[in-house]
Amino acid sequence: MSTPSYVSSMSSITDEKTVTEEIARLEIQLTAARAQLNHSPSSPPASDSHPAFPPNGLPSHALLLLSDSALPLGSFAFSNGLESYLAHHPFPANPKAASEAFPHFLTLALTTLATTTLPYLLAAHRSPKRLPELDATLDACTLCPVARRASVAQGKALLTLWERALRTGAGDSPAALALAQFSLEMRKTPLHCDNDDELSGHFAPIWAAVTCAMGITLHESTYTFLFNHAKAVVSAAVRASVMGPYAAQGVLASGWLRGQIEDLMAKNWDVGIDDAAQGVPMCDLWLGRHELLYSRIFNS
Amino acid sequence: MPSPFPPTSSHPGQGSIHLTLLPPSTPAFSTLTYTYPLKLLPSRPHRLPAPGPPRPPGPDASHSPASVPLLFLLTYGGGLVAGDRIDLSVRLDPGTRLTLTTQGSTKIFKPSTGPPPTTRQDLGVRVSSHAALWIAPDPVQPFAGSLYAQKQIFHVESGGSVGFVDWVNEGRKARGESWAFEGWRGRNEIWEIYGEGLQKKRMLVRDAVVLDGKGIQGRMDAMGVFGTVLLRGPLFRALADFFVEEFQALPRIGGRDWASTNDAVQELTAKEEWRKKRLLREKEDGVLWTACHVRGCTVVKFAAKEVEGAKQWLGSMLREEGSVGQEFGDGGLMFVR
Repeated sequence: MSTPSYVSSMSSITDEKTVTEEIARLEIQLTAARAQLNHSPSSPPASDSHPAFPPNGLPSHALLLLSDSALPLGSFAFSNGLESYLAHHPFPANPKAASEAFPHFLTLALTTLATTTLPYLLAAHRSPKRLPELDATLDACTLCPVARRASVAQGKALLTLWERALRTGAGDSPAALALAQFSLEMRKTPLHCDNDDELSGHFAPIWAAVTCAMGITLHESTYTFLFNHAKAVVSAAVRASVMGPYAAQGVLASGWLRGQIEDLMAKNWDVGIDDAAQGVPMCDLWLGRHELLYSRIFNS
Repeated sequence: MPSPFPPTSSHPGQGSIHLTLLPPSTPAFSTLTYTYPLKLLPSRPHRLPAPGPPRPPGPDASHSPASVPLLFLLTYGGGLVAGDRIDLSVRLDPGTRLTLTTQGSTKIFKPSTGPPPTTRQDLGVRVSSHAALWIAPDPVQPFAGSLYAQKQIFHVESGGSVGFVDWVNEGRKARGESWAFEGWRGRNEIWEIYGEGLQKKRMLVRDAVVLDGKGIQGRMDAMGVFGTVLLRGPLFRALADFFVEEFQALPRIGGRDWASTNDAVQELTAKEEWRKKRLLREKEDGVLWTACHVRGCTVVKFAAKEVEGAKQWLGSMLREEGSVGQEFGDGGLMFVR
């Protein structure tokens, strides 16, 4: 662009407001373009050839961010059924038996999540524009109020986090647009409950859209979702005095857990949302009966 | 999901029920057809009191039919062999009521050789305004090695009511079977039909369970039966509220029972007396249950060590509340007798 034409076009704009709008628009475009540059796999960072960086690149920055348990989603408040399970099945005092009982529960908790929720994550990551539809269907399928509260609380927290912190660096992918649209719809308080598209803000589809918008692959998104769930359950187990912190890290580090997560991913990879179903019916009972506990330290 | 089979009336296992109301209020089946291995057997209908002054609270009395037909869903030999498919459609016209039940658990056999083809039961229901359907079958009993899938889709117009029990047990316990089938898949959906000309529909709830793969038994936590009760509509409102109130009145888990120490002299109302007995029984039979209102429906989930315990519990709840017996007749409670 040559200087004279630029100046002439500037001078033709008289309204100050229009200029401000123009600046805002260009800034968004610039951010988007920068984000695209950062994400584009064909253009690795300029530092590519520097000996400080391995040939495969550093681990995904976004992935490290989203797998952090300090992410303000409030996940620590949910034991995902563990607390109620313990009330129905006091763990054996014998440490050896107790150490076998916990992995059993963890398997059940992960299986429940994988069979009921993973299909929605997969569908939303593959096609972020389906976000509202997936959220509405998932809501109709989540019959346990305790599970619903946990899912919606974390989903809304992630959406807020996205809006306030993550969005700026993420560009204008279809997933980012879907999220923008979704949060706009969410803010409209529904006047009638017979609205077809009433949104709840469930965790799994929002997680999928956010990870998709941040350039995290479907495999990584799925694995991290399940692994984060395992971390939440294990962390709850530590606080519920089921195990010590070293044993807890031992569970998380184990090849056993990795195998469990990979098995569940493989088994549910091609399951459509119409076939999502509760694989551990007892979990619905334990979770539902969480409300009957005399004393509670968790919200689920 | 559309049926992979062409819609032909001669398809094995197909059945169709269309209940209509002849003036002034006489229910009549305008369609009642079935093909092997399905059989639909009408039994003595339940007479409803003529609309008059002493009506229990419920839907508008002017919409009550004179009687509620009772239909038995039967299969030849009391079960389904591998590969059988039952496909039943039910249509209730405005103001009608119907009770569907069975005469015993639906056994799902496995084939003598080879990998099991899936045995299917599909139910499609349309309930018009002020109509009501109560489905109260015995549990499905899948034998070791069987593969089973069922789908029950309910379309309910505003003002219509539907209630049903859907339960499955561990198989032939006497032969040592415990959740030893290949796979069990169940899906229940309630759709609301609304808007002008009843053009709109939306899914209120979908309750889906899948039990397959290795270690099903380990997931069932030593329970012998698991089930769901789903309720929707004005005719089931009292029952729905009753379940939720009783759930909320359950003793807190891990709390101390102060009442049992020195309050023995306290007089209990009849309901409290019943509740106390029921709670003792629940404990004995290992019954675990939950109930909640969700998206305009009410969902009750239950499990018990044995079918008998679940039957006891469910029967006790339904009889104490009473509206099923009143509105649908004893036929609607036969399954928990």
